[in-house]
Amino acid sequence: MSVLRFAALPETALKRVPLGGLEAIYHVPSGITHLLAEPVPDLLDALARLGPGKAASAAEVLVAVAERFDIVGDDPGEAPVAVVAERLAELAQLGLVAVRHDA
Amino acid sequence: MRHSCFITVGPARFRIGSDWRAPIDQLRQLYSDYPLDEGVPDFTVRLQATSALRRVVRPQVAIAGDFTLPDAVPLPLEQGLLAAEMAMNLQMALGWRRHLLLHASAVSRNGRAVIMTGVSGAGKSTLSALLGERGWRFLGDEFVLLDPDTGMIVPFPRPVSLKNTAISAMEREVDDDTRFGPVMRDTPKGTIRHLRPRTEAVQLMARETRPALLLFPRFGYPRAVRRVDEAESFVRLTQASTNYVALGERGFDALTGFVRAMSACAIDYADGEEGVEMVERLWSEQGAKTGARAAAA
Repeated sequence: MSVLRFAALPETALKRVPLGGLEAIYHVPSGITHLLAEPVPDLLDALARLGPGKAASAAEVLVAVAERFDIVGDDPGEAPVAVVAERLAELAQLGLVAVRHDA
Repeated sequence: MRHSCFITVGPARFRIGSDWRAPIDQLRQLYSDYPLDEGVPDFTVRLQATSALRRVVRPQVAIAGDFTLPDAVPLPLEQGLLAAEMAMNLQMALGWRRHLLLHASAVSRNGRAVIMTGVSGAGKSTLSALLGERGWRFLGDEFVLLDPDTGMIVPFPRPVSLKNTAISAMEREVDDDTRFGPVMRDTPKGTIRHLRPRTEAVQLMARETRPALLLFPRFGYPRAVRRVDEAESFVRLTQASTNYVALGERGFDALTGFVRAMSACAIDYADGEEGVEMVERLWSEQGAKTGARAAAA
């Protein structure tokens, strides 16, 4: 079974501006603006800290953000790693992170 | 075109052509304080008959020009001035790229501007017109132009488009009848009458102003004031901008910088007098905060 791994886009692909408790993100390649709430911008930060071209699994990203956040899903029974994996998958669908399938 | 004139408003220059003389004469009267010199226009607008017969028999004015809407309904010749105004708005909304365009009104005092935005009927035009008669400089009632390079507001003080009850309110406010255009009844937006801004507003229209206070007014509701945070302001202004998407990264930079630099409030008010009083009060509070920050620095 392949494991999804996520990586930050090149630094020039996103413009990010904090607006109060949210963050406005301009995706340069598409010209689309997104408005994201915590902890999603922190997931982007965690991937950016890996360095160019480096990817991480949802479990590794969870470790990176766990110091700042108690990750809890809408369903209290949902595992934190599943919540992070869902958010990362959503970011990948929006084109805000790159995704790789590692065998 | 048989008849034409040039009109300059703020940074934009329009050439208006018409199959009929009357709309051009009305434009010249309404814009008598504005530069009317001929030159290379940014936009051309044409008011033309829907057919050769329609030039004389129950004449109908169709809007043509650099930018048009395919489904625009022709207006009767008595509303030719309105057709010209709508066409000029359309050129700006669809074609202007030099500034971020916000569907908003604005006034300024001491070099700092209040920007008011809201849906049609929220009262932003009337509020800016009232303030423009009471010691504020009128900067525009339809579009606010934000310079992406400097963050400054570039005045675009077109004549105010007064609708329905706002007409009588401003007729009571303004003594000089020559500043009003013709009354146009039964238009798609009800009765409309234009009001030329005070001469000073036109004379100073090349002078840019720094934005200071952002308001989301709503007319006809019990008095209320609510602070609006940066994220909500940003979302509402992206919806109020006609060219945010077209400007791309410049638009994003301009708008995020704009909302981060200003206080923003939503205000509900029952009538024009209350609206003016609320703007004055918020302005005073804003000035006190700015003064306190300057003193602390």
